Amino acid sequence: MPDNNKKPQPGPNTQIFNAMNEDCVEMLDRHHAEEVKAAQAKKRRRAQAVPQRPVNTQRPVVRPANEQQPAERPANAQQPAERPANAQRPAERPANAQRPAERPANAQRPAERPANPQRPAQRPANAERPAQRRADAQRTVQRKSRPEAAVQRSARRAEDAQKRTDNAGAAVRPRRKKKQPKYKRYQRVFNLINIAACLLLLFGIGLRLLIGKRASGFLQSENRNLAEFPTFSLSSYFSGDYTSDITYYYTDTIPNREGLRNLANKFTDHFGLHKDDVEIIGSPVQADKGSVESSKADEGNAVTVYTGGREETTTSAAVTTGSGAAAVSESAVSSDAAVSQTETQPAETEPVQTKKRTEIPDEGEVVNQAVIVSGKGTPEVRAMPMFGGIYDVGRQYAGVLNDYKAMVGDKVNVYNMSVPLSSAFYCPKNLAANYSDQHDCIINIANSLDKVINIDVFPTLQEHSDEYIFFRTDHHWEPLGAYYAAQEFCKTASVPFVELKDMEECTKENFTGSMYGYSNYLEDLKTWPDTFYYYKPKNEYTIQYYDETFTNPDTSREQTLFYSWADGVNTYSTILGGDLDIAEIKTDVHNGRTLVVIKNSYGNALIPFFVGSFEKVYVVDFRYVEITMQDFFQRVGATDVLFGMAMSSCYTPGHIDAIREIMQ
Amino acid sequence: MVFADLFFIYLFIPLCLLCYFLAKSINAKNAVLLIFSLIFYAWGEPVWVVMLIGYAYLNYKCGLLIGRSRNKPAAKHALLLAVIVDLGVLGVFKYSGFFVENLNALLHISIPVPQIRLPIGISFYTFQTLSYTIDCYRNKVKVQKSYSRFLLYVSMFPQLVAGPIVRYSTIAAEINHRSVSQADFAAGLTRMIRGIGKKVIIANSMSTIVTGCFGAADQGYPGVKTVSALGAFLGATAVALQYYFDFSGYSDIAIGLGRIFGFHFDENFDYPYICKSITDFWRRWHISLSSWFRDYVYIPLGGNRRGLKRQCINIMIVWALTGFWHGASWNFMLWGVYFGVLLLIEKLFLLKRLEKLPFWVGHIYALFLVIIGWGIFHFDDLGALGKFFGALFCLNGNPFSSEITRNILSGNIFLLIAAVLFSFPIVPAIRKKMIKTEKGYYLANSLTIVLNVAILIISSLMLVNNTNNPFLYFRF
Repeated sequence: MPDNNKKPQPGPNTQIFNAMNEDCVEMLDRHHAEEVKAAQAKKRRRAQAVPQRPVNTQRPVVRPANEQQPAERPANAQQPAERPANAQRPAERPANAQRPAERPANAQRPAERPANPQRPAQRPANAERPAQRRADAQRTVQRKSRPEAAVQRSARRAEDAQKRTDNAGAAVRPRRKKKQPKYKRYQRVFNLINIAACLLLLFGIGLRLLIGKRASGFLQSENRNLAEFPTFSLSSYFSGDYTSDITYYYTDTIPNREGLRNLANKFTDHFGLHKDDVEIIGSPVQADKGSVESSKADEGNAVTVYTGGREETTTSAAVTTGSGAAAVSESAVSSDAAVSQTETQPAETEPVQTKKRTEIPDEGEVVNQAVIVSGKGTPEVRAMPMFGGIYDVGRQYAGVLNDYKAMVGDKVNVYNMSVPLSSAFYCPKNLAANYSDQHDCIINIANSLDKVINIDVFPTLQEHSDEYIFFRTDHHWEPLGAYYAAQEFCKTASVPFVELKDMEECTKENFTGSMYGYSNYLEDLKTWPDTFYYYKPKNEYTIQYYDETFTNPDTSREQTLFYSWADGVNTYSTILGGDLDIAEIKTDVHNGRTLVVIKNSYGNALIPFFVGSFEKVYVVDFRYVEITMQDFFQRVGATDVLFGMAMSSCYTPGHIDAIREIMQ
Repeated sequence: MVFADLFFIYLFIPLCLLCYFLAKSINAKNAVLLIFSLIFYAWGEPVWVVMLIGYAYLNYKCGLLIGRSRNKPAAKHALLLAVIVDLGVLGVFKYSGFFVENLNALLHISIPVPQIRLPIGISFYTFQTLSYTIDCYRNKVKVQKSYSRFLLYVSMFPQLVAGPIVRYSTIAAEINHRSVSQADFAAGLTRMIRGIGKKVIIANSMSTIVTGCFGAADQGYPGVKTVSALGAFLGATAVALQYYFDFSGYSDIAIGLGRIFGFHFDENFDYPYICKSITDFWRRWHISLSSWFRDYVYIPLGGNRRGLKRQCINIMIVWALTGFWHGASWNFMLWGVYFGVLLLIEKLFLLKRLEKLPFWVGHIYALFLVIIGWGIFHFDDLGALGKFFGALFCLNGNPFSSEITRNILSGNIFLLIAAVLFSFPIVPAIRKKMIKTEKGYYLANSLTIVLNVAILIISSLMLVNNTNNPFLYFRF
């Protein structure tokens, strides 16, 4: 409810108004702005038409009523002694003609209170109203419980106001008192409590935030470092960064921010009803739907896998997508391609084992991504990044891969494995129609590939979708999903493949992944975390990490394929410890095949399953590498190049550019 | 610095209050306010604060000159200078990029487009100084002789960056003499906290509904293509509510803060969504802006005194300018012209007919057109705007309703209901009724206190989550 300003108008009476405001506003109930306007208009009218005198001259009419007042007084034994002082104040009122209209409630009240059936009769004529209200106002000021100091202050102010009034030439006369309900005298107390409560909060929290300890270090749930207080420099000041960083620091490092945020979420949860345990977070994605020419895939671009001496002919995995073809032709919402693309890859951080990690800017950072949560309130709760793909973008991606193939020639096999996101298999059916069909998007890429072998892992994953192949709380896939995909790949690449039973199973419990952050901190995901199952190869191998330029070995880290320190939101980094470095794995498989995996973080989970399949495996993250791939392939003697990444990267223009840029 | 930020609420405000009320004399109080205002502005515009100071000085000097040379040509020259400088500053910073771009497109030339970032609040303080010099010239206000006080008027932080557009006459007396009563202080705090709540709790949540329906602006509104008809309407309603709560929340904070410091600004919003016609809507929406255009553009152009034809032209000029004031983009111009045409139609014949009909007819008619207006306002991409209208009227083949729409609607149903209720003057009505009885009076006053504390705490919690949520009117 807005409080209306009793705004003094400039003019000869301003002084009086000011004085009036001090003492009278406090007891005025707040009213609607309309009334203020009406009142102001009225005031203006009066100011023009009726000078103060006429109002005053009507006083005598009122007086008899006034004279009753003193008689009343003694009865009111508790009335403070300064009454007379106060009593004079209303005399100033005539100047403040604006008041009356503002206070209809007040105006009626006094009359009502005495339960006087003659109210209408008692009602003074219009001209008297101001006086009446003056009296009301006054009574409110007189409060039994008022502290002594306040009483005196009030009295003093009344006198001041009085003087001012005198100066202004207004007549001072005793006024008629109108009964104001007793309880209204507590307004001042309420105001005091109100002020005290608000100031206590403002200053209390302010002080706490100013002198209290601040949070710092690495923030697990958001996978980033907390802000630090900026260092001053002229350039940062003039660019505005310095001040905005301070503001950011102030909010970002509030202790127990996560806990506070959960409280806020508990509140916002009550904004509505969440039916079917499903929640959509974020904005819609732009998606092309259903216009893939599946016939093209049926043509089957037979690609020869070059395996050293002998040659085998295999067909592109795109050929096997007949099952998907039916679905492809279903809906046909035509749509024009646009630039926007959603990406579900968070900024990965360098896996240094300190509490603080370097942050890598990643154009694939989630911005306004769509997340769907299913099974809220149950152990099956699952938060899924939704996928939207523009076919044109997918074709660009395929074009870049074709360029790679043209660059490396026939003797090096190039494969594409676009890995669907968990939403492809677990999104509630009624919502799925609003997003891209991920299998269509894979086929769309496959259709445009030329001599690049497409590994369509969709049917395989679909088949195993009742197994634990995707996390519920993280945007990645479980290594088990990667296992089935790797199997598909090794079959196509004609290399040996080590079965799961011949590997060592390890687990990490209590893994709440990145979707916790992307779902706006859905507590359910913490309540029912994931378990991270991963599999260690039993054959012999060595691993060496290099910096992004592939010149210096990275000696700062433990040379191992699996890192036990990875925990919290970064549990997925157990394998390879992250994405920054180039990894070189030499195995005891002697088949002359050297695999280079160009990947985003999805590819990491595949690597352990290749240790028993290739003689050498190189792992390169296209986002961070600083050596051209042409150069790199030659130096390592690549025989097979696998582009293994999440669908979202294949449909993100920025990522496609990055893959193109590192080519040569 | 923005109001809806923990840094502002829990550091800037307490410090400012402390210094302000430690200061005894009016000069000391003014100095405290001025210093904090300049810090406030420099926080967001470390460079342009210098321009603000110089700009205010120039206007101050022009004012002095006008005062000294009344009815002489010098006064006219000073006024002209001030108007040219004020409009020039606004034009260069706000519209130069737009004009060059359109000129390039029109003439197929390629003048380099100036990349000037809009200094915060420039649209507001240029209008304030304009009103001052014009009022000086018209002899409506006394010339401010003290530069520091004039600078305080221009830069006063409650209204500096997003209005309301406070005229000099409003605060002319109070800048020289003012006092704060306990009631003023309590009312000011209450008002400020409600403003924060309107912005943080309601407007910010509405914006998630809007992006949920249409997608994010920086991605080119990807959802507007697929949104269902109901979703488009829901989104447009959420836009309407978002703009109201965002901007009126800001005005509340400004008015509340002003009151804490002893200033009484005019109301800027008067429950615009209870309007019965578009004319009525504009009497209630952003009052300080529409009255500015009325007093400094419409009436000088001749208003309604030069015949109907001229009046119609005047109305269209004023509303095109009002739209354009909101931003250098065609959709804002379109938005202004849209309302200009509606107001014209109402003025010519519709208003009289509406008055004869039951009030709810006018109400529904006005709300519908206003919501469509917000659609025009929201989509700064004309292609997206077209798709929005396609979706709204089921012209694009999208379903009437979709699973996503239903999910958003049910997931925010209580919030939406509350927002709609709060956009009508229901709370003041309830309070008015309550305080008629003793118990109700106690309850109403206690509720005020409890609500203040609750709103402040909840807003703070929600602000912990959001680290960036500028007020919408910042970009104007």
